[in-house]
Amino acid sequence: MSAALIEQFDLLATSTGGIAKLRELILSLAVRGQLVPQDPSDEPASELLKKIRAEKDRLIAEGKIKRDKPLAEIGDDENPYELPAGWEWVRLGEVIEVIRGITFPASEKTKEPASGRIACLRTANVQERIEWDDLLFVDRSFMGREEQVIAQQDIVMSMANSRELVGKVAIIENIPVPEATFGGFLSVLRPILVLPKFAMVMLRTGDARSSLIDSSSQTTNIANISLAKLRPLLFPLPPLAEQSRIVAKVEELMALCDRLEAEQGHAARVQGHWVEAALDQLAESADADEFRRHWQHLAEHWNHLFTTPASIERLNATLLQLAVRGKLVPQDRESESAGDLITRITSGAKTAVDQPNIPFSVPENWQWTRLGCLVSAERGISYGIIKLGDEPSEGGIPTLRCSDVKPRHIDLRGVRTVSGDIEKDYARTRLLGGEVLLNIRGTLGGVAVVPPQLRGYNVAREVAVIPLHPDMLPEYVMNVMASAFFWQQISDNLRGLAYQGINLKSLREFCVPIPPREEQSRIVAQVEKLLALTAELKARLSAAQTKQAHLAETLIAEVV
Amino acid sequence: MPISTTLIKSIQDVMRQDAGVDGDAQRLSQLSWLLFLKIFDDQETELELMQDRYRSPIPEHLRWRNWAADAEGVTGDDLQSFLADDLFPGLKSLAADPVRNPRGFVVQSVFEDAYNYMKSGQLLRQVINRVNEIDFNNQTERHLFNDLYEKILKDLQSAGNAGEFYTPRAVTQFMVDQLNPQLGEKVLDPACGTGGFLACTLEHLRAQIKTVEDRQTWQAAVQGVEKKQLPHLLCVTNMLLHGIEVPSQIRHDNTLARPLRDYRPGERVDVILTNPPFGGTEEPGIEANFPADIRTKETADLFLVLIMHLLKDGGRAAVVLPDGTLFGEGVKTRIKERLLTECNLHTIVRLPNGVFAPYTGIKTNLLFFTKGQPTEQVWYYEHPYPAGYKSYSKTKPIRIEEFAVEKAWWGNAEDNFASRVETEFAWRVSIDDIRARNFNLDIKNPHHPEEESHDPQELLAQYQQLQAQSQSIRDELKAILAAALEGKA
Repeated sequence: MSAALIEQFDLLATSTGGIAKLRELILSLAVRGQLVPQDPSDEPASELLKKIRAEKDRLIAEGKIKRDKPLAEIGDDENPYELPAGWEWVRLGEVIEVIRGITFPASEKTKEPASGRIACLRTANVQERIEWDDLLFVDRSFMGREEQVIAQQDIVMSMANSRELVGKVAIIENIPVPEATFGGFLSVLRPILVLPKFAMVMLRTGDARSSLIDSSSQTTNIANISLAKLRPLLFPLPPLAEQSRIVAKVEELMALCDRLEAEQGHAARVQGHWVEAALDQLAESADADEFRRHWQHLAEHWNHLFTTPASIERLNATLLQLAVRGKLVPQDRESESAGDLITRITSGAKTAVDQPNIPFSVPENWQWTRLGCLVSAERGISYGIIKLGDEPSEGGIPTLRCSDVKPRHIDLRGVRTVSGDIEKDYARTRLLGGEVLLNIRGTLGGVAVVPPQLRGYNVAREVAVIPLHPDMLPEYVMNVMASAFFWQQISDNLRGLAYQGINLKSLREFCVPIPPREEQSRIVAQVEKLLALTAELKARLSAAQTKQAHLAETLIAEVV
Repeated sequence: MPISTTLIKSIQDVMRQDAGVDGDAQRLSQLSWLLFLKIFDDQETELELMQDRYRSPIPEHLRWRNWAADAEGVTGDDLQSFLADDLFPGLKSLAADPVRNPRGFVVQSVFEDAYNYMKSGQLLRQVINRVNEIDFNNQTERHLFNDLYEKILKDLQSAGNAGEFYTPRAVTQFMVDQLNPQLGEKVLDPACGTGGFLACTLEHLRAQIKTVEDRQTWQAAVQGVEKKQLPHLLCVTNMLLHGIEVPSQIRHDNTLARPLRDYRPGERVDVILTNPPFGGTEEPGIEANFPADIRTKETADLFLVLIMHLLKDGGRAAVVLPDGTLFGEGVKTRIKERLLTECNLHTIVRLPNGVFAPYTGIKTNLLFFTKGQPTEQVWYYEHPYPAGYKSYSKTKPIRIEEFAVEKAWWGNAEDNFASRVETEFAWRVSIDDIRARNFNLDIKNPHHPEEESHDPQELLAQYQQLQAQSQSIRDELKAILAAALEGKA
């Protein structure tokens, strides 16, 4: 086996889909005779093949099976790979009897058993294992031949399915009903003197899967495998004794893969919880002392916590939480306090939030207020055009819908227009630039600042326009609205059943922590800087994951 | 028995029972000299019919027909002692010189290092009888055997130690087709291995034979040099199979061992086709045969210099070279500068990974150049995988049909490929750009995002680089946060 694969085994096993690839590798090696050593004292497959032929002749003589059309000899150039000594290339049809399923009118099936009716497996029952619930029952008279009764160790194959699933197999290991047969989209493969579980190994290899898929005839959305295509499939036949050693080894290795998979899944979940817990406790620290301890935990394990794109998403959320708590930049006691700022904006009206209602405590010269108080006196918060009407073939006013407003940015690729006739009634939501947009209906979560070049655009009714007082920094307010506590206020106030949203009245009442104006700028700059870094990090981590998966593929491709 | 892999397999099975033969290489070696003698003998039968005065260079009692052909003939210990006391000493000591008795010279040079590995005379007799079942004078059988032989070569030439890899048939064919050697031209492969390029060239030239004189010209059209004994023997046999009566032009020698300045102008050739060993290094002392400023131990580089030297003015070459040569620096830069100054490197076909699978995943290029004019621009063609392929493999090898697009695009050397156009896969780079890149010829297709590599080492390096980049960003993030948060705490 390739030394590279062994050296990089950990990378392979932990890559995305790595275990699935490992399973495929195990199967591929198994049918190449590379999984267990050959034993020269085994009776060679050529002898087994003679016995199989004799057995077939006997079964034919007894009328148990029909004589099939002879299969073409295997040409020299057909062998896909070199077999070990003692093995033989045969065609599937030489060593496996294939039996087609029964057909019956759709009206004849019932969900319940009854006398004279037999259980009938359908495509949906053929999964990783045979699934015996949700059976259909049909009258026994639809069964043409007794061989269509399912027996232990039968291999059931899906003969008509989507391209990805056609040729899928499962083995019968128990039959929880008195008697069962199988429908016309299935076939039963019954090996003759070949271990059915070895045939399973072979039929599940990537090679066999792709040969079957490639040989299937494709209609619009169904791929069909015909017997004429299935029976000539090349089948590597090991000595019988080796077959059972291979099956045992494959089962052992697959069990290890199962465990590895379970443990990796578990480890990933634990890691996810850890990241979450570590970040949450930091954001929610009660006092400076706790905050220091929580940060130290995070700092200590930094390199182990932030190794996946998902953990970076989580970190981003925490960064915003810290930002709006005044933790990301130092406070400047000299600057105009937020209280004074808000008083100036609101011309002295009382706007502070009462102590019991504040979501968390903020630095000294900050102030909690309500979103409605920060809005420019002339315009107020409102939502946009209720019925957009047909898109005019030319001209019209570009109008942002909830699908255009994304978290922290506006995506202009899908913007549609609204005719001037409709739009003229919505002058109050016509954009000037610098407003904050928030999705209040439809796809929630979008919040962005309107860039100056979108002046003249309008918005649809799912989008609220929040025109801030000129002394407020819109980017700061956007950060607040993108952070977790604000989102909590939104979810607490959702109205409606199927089409949920918030109304403007509750939006105006939402609490917002406000720092001094000068500090708002520093927070925005710090957040921008950190988010740019995390975006970069996330991109690299995703790229590394992709690369790792590709590496795994290559390592395996080198072996088989 | 019809010729088939089954026959070869059954021969190998017999050999496996023998205590003396160990491993594929020895089995192949054993089979090779047996096949050589048999093929040689069959060819003599034909030559005796065609030429009244033909006389075998092999002493009568050592000829295959006289000791091997009879299935009931000498066997057991008698056979062993015949081989040890008569056949091998006799063939090794043939008084043959390349001019007066070239066929004898071929036999002698083939047997110089040949060895009988089999210990059991009985088993050897069985093998001989199997070999006798093939009639090499039967055209169809010969044809079948040619294909089979190619397969044997491919199968057994598993990853060489000195970087020698079997060149896929499709690649040799494409290179020969594009250089289009003409009858009367001298064609050389200075690292000929088992003779893939030469055999392909012979088949290409065969179509041009019109007269008896042509036939004689054809017989002397190709020359090869191979350093190792076994590939050399296989190559000679290969030439016999392709109808060369006296393959004395296939020398068992190391081309690089001869100082460049020793080559006489008369030894220069019109066409060179080769896949030089790469990655391998030469024994100390070899590099001293090369000019001081371009001395290196890397065989591929040395061969490139040698090829430039051995071409006639106006001579054409097609060479398989690894990516490393294209982007390498230092001595490699000087060699490339020389190449672009002395020759017109008009085309580089960039092959995807896996062409040489499973021997190596290394990325390779086909360089086509003509000696005598400096390069003005280099055309690149990126050979794409066929639809649905992610890589080539032993079972899904590169096929000659895939080169149809390149062939259609190729154009004419006479008008300096005026008809070529840039496509999704083809682009050109001027000599000024190449000079500005310090002769780094590893230029990626501008029309196409780079294909993912299939070399685990390369991927691992990229993965580690991404991880290292992630780490430095992570460090930076942590530092910023630490500064902000620890100030708070």
